[in-house]
Amino acid sequence: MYFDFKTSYNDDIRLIRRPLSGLFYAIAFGTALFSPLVISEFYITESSAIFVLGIIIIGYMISAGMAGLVGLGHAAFVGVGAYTHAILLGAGVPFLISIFSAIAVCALLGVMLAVISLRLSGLYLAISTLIFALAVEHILGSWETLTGGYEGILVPDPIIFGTSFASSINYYYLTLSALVSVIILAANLMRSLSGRALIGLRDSEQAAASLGINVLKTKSVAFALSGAVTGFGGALMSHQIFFITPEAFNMMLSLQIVLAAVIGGLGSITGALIGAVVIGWMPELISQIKALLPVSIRYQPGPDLVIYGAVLIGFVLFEPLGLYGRWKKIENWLLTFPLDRKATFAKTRTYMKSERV
Amino acid sequence: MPDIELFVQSLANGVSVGAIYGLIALGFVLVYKSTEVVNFALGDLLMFSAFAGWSLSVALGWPIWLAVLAAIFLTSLLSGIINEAVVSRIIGQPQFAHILLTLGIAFTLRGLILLIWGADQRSLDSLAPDTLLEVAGITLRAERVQIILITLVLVIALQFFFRKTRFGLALQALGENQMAAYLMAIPVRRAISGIWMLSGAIAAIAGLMLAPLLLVDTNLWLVMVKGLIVAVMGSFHSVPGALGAGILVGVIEQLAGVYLDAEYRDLVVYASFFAILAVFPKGLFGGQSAKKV
Amino acid sequence: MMKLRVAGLKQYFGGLKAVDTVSLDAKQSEILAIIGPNGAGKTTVINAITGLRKPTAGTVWLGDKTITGLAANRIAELGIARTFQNIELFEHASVLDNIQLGFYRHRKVTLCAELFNLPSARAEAVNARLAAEKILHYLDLVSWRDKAVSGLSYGIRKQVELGRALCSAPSFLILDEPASGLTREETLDLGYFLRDLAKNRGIGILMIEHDMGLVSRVADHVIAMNEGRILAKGSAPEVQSNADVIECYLGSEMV
Ligand SMILES: Nc1ncnc2c1ncn2[C@@H]1O[C@H](COP(=O)(O)OP(=O)(O)OP(=O)(O)O)[C@@H](O)[C@H]1O
Ligand SMILES: [Mg+2]
Repeated sequence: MYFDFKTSYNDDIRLIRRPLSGLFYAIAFGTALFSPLVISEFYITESSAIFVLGIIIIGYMISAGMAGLVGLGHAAFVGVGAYTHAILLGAGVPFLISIFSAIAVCALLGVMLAVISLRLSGLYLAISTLIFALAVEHILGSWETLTGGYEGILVPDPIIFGTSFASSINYYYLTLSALVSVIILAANLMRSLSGRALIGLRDSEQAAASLGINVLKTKSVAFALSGAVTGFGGALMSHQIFFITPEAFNMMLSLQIVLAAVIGGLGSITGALIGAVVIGWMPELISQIKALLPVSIRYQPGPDLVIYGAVLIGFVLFEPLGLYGRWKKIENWLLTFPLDRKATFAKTRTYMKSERV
Repeated sequence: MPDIELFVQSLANGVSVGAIYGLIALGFVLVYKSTEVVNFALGDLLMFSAFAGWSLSVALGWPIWLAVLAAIFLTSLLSGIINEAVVSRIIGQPQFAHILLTLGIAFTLRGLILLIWGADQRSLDSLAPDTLLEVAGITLRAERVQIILITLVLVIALQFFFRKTRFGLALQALGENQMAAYLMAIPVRRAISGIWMLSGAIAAIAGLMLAPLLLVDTNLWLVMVKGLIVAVMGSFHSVPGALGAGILVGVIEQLAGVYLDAEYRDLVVYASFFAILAVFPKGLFGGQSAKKV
Repeated sequence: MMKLRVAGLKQYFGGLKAVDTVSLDAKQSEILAIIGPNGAGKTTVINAITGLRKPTAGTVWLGDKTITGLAANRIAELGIARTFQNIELFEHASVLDNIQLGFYRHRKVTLCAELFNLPSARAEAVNARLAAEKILHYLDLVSWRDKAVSGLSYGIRKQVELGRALCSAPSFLILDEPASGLTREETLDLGYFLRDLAKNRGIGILMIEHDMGLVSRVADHVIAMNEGRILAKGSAPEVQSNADVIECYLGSEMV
């Protein structure tokens, strides 16, 4: 049995395609817009941090989720974005110019990563992005004249056209509007032919090439866009850290980005946002859990790692599509209510497909 | 110190560190060849072996050789359990899932090690006596010589195992083609567990040789990165491939540390990694095969 | 009327001469079938034509343009579309998305226009969609439109792959064993589609096929290959009665 809920092609091209997700976005956006009026300072700050994480994870999703270029080193883009922005601001460059320069530098860095890893795929790509991020972290630490080395540098306040966005409420609206713009851009990308080309690249390079897609160029575009968006997030993030050091952008951050993408579900914007919320709240959640632990281990870093690890293992084993995948199933059940069939999402048989390089 | 002696000494240091990198890479290669899983928890298994060795020898006062053997055994067991309990459940899923899963295991393991042993630094004794040896007019620390010798013996033993013994040949068949191995009545599941245990034991040996050179602390897992670099350079290919690439990396690292600046050591290694991949996208030992359609 | 010509094509893998001096001519509005036992080098020939692998020697012309050694995407842009022996679909995308990607070679807007969803980008999205819908209706795939490809049956997946190639509105269509794994009914349907595409839409079809029933029903010309060489050329009955071909297939069901 087949149901088409749509009436014209334009329905499919619209940004919000399904009634429930329309409702979801409306509620989410309304809440985001008005909640600073009612919530406390702490939650306002916390929410801005989540918005910024959202930007970063959408950036990661563009390369990893859409193009299938699974990297383990996106902290490099966050770091370079943050440093470029902080250094330029410190040199007296106006905020907007500085932030767009940070984006441009990160796009270039993305192209660079693409160039050095163009002929790699799968495992080799993942490992080389990891090494790439280590190298970038190392350079940030040892280029002392520019970055202040491991001592770190101070990040000036965000001031746009004379208005300071340093207060938590102003910063909240700044990051919210940044996030909304990134979401719209990413959604536009996903519904365009170029976006589909990225997906083509992910699933079969040979077939993509046979349809006229320039594999190398498209990979570079994926890394450049991904780097630009992630770097944008990094630049904004610098204002939350106030004082940035290379360690803030280490392997742990890269892995947290990956973790968020997995928790939310790779390959969708909503998934990225869900991931951002979960990862953003994870420290809070962990401290709640730790409060239940005996005092002797309550203040150790060990439990955090165990919880991160367990969450990651749990998702890979039991919910590989992430929370967004779970929501899709529920949504489908609601939309088709009396007619739902379990088999819609039943696992199709998968064969062991060698990805040997 | 005369230039030539400094050079030979850093070469020897490079070879010994490289041998350890090669062993770590071997830990990756063995598991990868049989299951296409890259075990990102290997660094933490290695770290576990060092902490276990410390506990047994220092805290419990066992003789060092016994502590080392027991630590190797425990690590090997842990590696086998990780495979049986977690990794074997997602055989056949995409590589990405394996990477994430083993990363998750790595976090968990690291967290547990932190919980059990804390973040303090400790030092572990080496099996070798703390003396200097004169080899052909060059002074070397006994520890370094011991590392090179143990690695050599281990590699020869492994080569013999894979080439000559029934089980070793069966494992090789597994690496070539799992289905065929299954049809040849090789107990695939048990064999894979065996491989994981072997890989764990090798990581433990590497860890127990490395720990006396550094310190035992919760950053020890980071040498996994070097192991990965080596495994990629050696194309996840073979025992000699891993060892060869390991020694190359070790020597590059030591020479960069001595002749450039200690600060640029790692950077030089990363740069040579990318340089090699730029020329050989499949590593030094990888064939030219693209995916066949 | 354009021709796709191959002359003196060789493809060596080390010592193995997978393709050794193969020449062929395919014309628009005609169906040329390549037959031959496993390992004859058929797939290798079309991989060389479509640019997936640079041939060791030989020349490929599309019309009067030499396309030998061009990148696969350049060749696709010139209007040669193909399918794969083992189905290379975009597994995690929907049928519609797969087929729409066929339209990629007609893409005109810039990435920037797409990112900001300018009117030009929107117009193109509708065009791609229209092209894909036509294909969906033509191949009767409408009821699968929004399904993810990975869950579909083999026959449907083969259809989707054909649809994706057709959506690029190619002048030449190269098919690698389009009927393998299809049921009898599906194979019959495929035959009608192929005749229609060639005769009514003027597409030149080059197909590798083992099913001699299908080949003799649809092919205008047949080439038989073995061990990298051409054994015989001609109409289906001529090739089937060729002594070398019979010998090469001896013992198999074709005789
Ligand atoms: N990339 C490659 N590297 C090495 N050898 C190859 C490669 N591709 C094909 N071959 C070899 O070339 C020969 C021809 O292969 P090809 O795939 O073209 O055969 P085919 O006629 O398509 O057979 P089938 O009917 O089984 O598809 C075979 O012996 C094959 O093993
Ligand atoms: Mg073939």
